[in-house]
Amino acid sequence: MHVRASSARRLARHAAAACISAVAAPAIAQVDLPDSLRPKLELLTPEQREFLGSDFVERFAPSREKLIEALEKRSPEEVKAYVDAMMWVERQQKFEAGRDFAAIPLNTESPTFNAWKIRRPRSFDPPREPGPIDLSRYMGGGSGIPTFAGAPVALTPEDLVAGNVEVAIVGAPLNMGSGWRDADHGPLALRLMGRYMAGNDQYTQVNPSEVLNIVDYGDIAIDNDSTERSMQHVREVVREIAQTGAIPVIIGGDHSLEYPDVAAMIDVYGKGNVTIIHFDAHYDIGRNRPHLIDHGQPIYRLLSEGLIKGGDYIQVGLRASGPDEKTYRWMREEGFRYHTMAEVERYGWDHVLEEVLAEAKANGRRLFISFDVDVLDPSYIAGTGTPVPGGLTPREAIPIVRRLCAENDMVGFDLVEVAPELDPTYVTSLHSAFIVKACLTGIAMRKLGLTEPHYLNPVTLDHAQDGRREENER
Amino acid sequence: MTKTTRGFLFAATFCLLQLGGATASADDVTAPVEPSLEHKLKALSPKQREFLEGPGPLRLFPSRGKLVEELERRSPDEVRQLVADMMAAVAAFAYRPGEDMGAIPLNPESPQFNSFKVLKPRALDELERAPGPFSVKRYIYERGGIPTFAGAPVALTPEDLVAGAVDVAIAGIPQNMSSGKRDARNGPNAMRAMHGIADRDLYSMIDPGAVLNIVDYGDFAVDRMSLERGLDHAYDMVLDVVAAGAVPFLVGGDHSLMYPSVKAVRDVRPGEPLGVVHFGAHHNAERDGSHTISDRQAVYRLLAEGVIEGKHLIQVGLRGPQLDLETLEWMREQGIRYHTMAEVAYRGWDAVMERVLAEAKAGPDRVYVSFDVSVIDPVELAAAGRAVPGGLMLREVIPLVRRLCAETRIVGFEIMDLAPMLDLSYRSAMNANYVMNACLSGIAMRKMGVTEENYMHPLVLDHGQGTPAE
Repeated sequence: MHVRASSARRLARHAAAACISAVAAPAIAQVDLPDSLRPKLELLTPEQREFLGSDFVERFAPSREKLIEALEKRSPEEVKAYVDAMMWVERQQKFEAGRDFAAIPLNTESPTFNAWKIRRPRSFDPPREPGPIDLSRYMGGGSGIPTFAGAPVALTPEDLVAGNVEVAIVGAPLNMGSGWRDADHGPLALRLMGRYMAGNDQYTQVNPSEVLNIVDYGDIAIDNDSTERSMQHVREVVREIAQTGAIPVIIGGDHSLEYPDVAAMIDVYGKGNVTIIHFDAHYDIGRNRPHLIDHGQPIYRLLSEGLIKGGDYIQVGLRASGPDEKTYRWMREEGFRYHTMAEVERYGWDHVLEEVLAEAKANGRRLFISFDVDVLDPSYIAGTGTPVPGGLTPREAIPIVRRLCAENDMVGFDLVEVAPELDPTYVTSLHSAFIVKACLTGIAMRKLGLTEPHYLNPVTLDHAQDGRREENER
Repeated sequence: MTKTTRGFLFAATFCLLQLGGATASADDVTAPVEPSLEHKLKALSPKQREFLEGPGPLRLFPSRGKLVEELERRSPDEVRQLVADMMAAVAAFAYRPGEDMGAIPLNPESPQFNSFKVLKPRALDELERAPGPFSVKRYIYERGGIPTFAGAPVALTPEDLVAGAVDVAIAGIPQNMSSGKRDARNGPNAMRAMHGIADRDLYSMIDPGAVLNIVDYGDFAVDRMSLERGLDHAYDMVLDVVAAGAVPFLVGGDHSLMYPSVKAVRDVRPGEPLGVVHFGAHHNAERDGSHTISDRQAVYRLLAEGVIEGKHLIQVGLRGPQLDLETLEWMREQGIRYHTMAEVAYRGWDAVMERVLAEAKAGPDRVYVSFDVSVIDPVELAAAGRAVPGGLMLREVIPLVRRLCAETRIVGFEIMDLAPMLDLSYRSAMNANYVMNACLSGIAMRKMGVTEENYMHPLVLDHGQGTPAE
């Protein structure tokens, strides 16, 4: 209890500090204006001339060239009015004490202020021994109650310890994405599709449900009127799972969750000890936004709080309209290892896959995977909030996830941005479940010692009726 | 260009504004424990005993009956543990200074702190145009093309509204923070992309598009991550519309927007009371939330701040799970005229409709209609963020909306929480448009001086060939 309280205070400090410790934003470049424009600028003050040379003005036109065009056709008076207007906009966009509030007030008088996350005391229920709760009625398992991977349910860290649980799958129904929303129903959709997460894996002939102790750890409470308020509690629950030695698998929810998920990994394993693989169509390092967290900036939040460095990150599948070239350059400087779909187009998937695997293994660190389902092509994942065409196929994504989880020391996994309402078919949740299964299979392979690069079961690989058997079984 | 925020709706002092009234029905607040249970309670301290007999346990157990069952199957020691845990849980519900985040921090260093709502200065426009609504159509009779509400011309500034003597300005507010399923941000565009607004109304044979000056006033910007930050702006924009002499027709967005919209319409004439007719499956008068605004709290905010009086609020179609006896009693105390679907089942729709109309006419002169699409049955409106079975049918709702808008003075109309992705068909958007058109028809009727009760055009009522001889 005491530990939790002090970490809450630390988080509150982090939240406040995030405003100040912005990571080196690109410097404002001063640009020379063409001489032809000079006569138009005669009414401008020196301050206005300087403003006209700043980066900021590029927000008013698609390019600097177009802006210059716009100015060239104006009279000096009109140019002055134009620059006045731009500077007015700049002032309006900035925070101004007295006009804007720097924090969103909550109703601290509410008698139910924390009710959304208060846990159920043990004394409310009949006594039971700690450990996973088996919901099955039949010897073959199951009773119809849908759980992740058809697994038994655990509700407390004591349950995890008593059950020697190796993987705890937990829902986090956060629904604050910038595109279509419905990610709060992601956990539900994946429970309904839960049995596809488990069972035998053809490629390796490994059955994660038989090899591993897996549980459904229920859902983490979320305040869906505020991402910020939810973050601290998510971090707490993910941390409590990891502290028992189990691998947390978090089913979102929107991608803001990457911040508390990774932060919890750092809480447990320490800074610089975890490599994060971020599968996503989006780079998610948005900066300088008025809100300190949303699903486009979890990595920046981790960076600005000093929890990670760019070099801890490997990104795969980027192809959305952001980042721009300037931001890619900044990402290079920060040490991010990004792999865009342009790289896949130029060099082929197999090449990129091997590169990612090599980077992940390079320093033998622990691995966390943050898998945004929109890295897959929308034909496989229609049900996601911010889809982007031209994504990975399951036949590309499943092997890399399986291999990453088998060939590295996995400490956590999240799968986010499933918005089931956007897909009236089962297709989105089926593919999402198979991505989770690929990682569970990998974790099980590692437990069985099957960590050689790209292990596939030789019997599955070949019917062996034509003499190639020897070759394959070698 | 000189526009500044006039509303500062989210002062930190909000929490001081709490309305009194029943917090729970008298039977439930305190209840002595039955003598037969006395032997289970012997391990309790006086404080624990007091808690058990007070209202606290009902925040954790659905009823006192279920609580008694829980006590009965425990030993005295287990009862003591249970009560101690209950007390700790209830204590943890409240805000703990220093431990809980009392306000959600923002990033004041952001150079884009307000970018979502900064209006474009006219000086930055490439071309000059005279103020007034402008058409985005190429042809005289164009049905397709650039989608606008009602196929109407576009207006972007209050000057456009004044220059065009605009009667009705339809604006979208794509806020997406419903407490149900979220897709209301796409409500405005779903309605723009669908026909049915400013079509001739069969019943009155009046074409609102021909009678009224209607414009599409574009969308009002929202902050997708925070209601609080965007509602000030919605308030300002609605205020502009009303000040320009137009009736705002607002398309949500979730129902939290009712708070700034109604407040703005009232604030234009602060001394005059405003009547509100609120259609919806949900009462939205939830109290005591840890957030200061949400769709579930909009009505409460309006009442708590005295923007409207309870006796001037008429609610129609309530049936959702938000309703409980405690709230209904509180609503009665506030003087709210509520009409549940139970009343419709009991009295019949016609009687309820007449009652609503009589109440609206007896109330303040100025009337605002707040229409949550959840009032309609899901079979006709699947795309409601907070859908509840057993709702009103269009053939029930439309006559009431048309009559309200014809027979009272409408100063504002809003349609809220249309979440298009929930309906793969065209139906929800089309039906939402028909509801809006019913109100536009009513306003057009009134403008033409047709205010007789339940007016319908005689030509459509009867073919005029007489009845065959028997």
